[in-house]
Amino acid sequence: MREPTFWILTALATRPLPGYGVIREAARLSGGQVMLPAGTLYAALDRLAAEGLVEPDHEEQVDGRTRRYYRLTSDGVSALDAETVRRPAGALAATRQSAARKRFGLGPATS
Amino acid sequence: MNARLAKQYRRLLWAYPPGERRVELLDTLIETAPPSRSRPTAREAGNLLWHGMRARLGRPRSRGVVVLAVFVALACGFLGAAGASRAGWETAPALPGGAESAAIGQTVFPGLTVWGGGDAPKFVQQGDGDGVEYGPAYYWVKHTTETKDIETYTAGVRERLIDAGWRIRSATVDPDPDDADAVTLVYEVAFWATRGDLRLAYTDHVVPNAPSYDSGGAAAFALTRAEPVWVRVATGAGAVLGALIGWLLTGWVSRRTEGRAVSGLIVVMTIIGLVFLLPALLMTAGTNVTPVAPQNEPFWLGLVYMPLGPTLLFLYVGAGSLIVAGWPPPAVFRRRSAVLVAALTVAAVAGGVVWYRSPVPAWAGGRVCTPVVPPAEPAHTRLSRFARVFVSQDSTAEQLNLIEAAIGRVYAAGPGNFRRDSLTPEFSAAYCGTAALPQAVGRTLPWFFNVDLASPGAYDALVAEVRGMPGVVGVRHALPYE
Repeated sequence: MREPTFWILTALATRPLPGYGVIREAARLSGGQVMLPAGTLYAALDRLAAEGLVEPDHEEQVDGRTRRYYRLTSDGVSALDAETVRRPAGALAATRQSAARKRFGLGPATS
Repeated sequence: MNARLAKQYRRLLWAYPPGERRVELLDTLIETAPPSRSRPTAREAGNLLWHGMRARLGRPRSRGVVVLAVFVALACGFLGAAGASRAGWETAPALPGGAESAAIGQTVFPGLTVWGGGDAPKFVQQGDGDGVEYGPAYYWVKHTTETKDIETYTAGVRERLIDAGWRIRSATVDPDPDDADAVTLVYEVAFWATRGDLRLAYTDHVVPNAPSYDSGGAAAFALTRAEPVWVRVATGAGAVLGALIGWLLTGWVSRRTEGRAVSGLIVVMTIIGLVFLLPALLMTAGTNVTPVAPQNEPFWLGLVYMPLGPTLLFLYVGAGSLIVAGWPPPAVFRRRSAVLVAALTVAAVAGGVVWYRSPVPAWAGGRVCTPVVPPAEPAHTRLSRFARVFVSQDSTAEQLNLIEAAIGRVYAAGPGNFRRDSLTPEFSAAYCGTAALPQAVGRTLPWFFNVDLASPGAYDALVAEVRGMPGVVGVRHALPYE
């Protein structure tokens, strides 16, 4: 799962959000690390909608502009759950490898 | 809300296909823009343009559609560049004529009778019929003792050109050292030079042991136009426009056929079209660089010949895809288009039958002509590159041989091709155009030689060479018989 995809699903996990809401929520949850550009966000939303992980929820009219909210589908929830299992497993494996390296007294790699 | 920022965002959002997505994105962009932002950042603009163009292709999960669109855009970009270049050349100035032409001739060949010169069509078929090149105007002199000393004379030509403001662009070389003819011992040197937007390719060749009735070679130069700057600009613009159109049409077809069974067929046909077209385009894009005439062929040369088939296939596939994608048409057009399609079909079938059945075009209406000897000059002869030398039926075989040799002596004219069968359509067309030539009359008419001229200015030299020869009835410009 690509990084923007992961953060979009994460942002939508608790409630439906409009586009700018997803961007803000992803930024907040990542501690300001993830700033999704609007073009990237909607490309990902289109893809996620085509894959059935996300769907439009409802629309609001604000200043004459249509504001569409998106929500996770049940498949989207499953995909996010699978990712939340996979990510720590990867981090854990990396941590173990790193510790092993130190234990054997290996210095920085030289070529 | 910053109205100016919104306006600029709205403009960037044109990259997206028309629809609600533009409005939705505008809302998101404005809501997330920091208050200090007065114009979109470059990253934002790039992000919107790329994802907008991607969104135009539809099928958000597919990467193949992006690859396909890139190749279609490349092909369309090449076709657009070729079309723009060809159209741009129409605005190129004529080659020097009159006093300017004479002055250039006298710069190169002072004191000698210079043949040829004048204007030429923008593009001409190459002598071997294999391709297209920029139309040259040939200038030449018959050999004198001085011009036969090719190294010394050519050195003098270079000095005179420099004095007249020309820039010499190459050393003097033998243009074809591998092709030395051991039998005729042809000696040849060549170089090229430029002045402003004119390009001059000089060559001096000697055939030492030529018989008296043959040409012993000539000192000559070809004048062509260098590619005008605006043609380059137009070519670049054509490439961008073509690529954009290719991309947008791919997107439109892709979105219209998303989820329809026919889209698989369209993809396969498009790939077949590209597989034939792209290699052909790569081959044609190669330039022909020789020491004497660098890039004397337009880059789209081959489009006219070898890849014409692939190009047409590609365009047919494109047109077919657009029709399939656009079908059914909106209800307003449906009734009208059905009538139109039916009418066009009937017209095409009827036209095809008439064309197929009729040996002379239908509009000729079986007119019978009374031929004039020799025929009248055709209407437009200024850039004509085809002539006929009419010869009396009373000519002896030796006279015909000498006339043929005289035609061969004209430097910038092809060999004479003799025609004496009055029953051929070509013979009839030479005298009567599309009207019918009565057989009994045809049998009595002068025969003729067809002569291709390398440049229109060679006509006067042809006339001068054959005029007054026993057996010659006249020389005329003519329309080549296809």
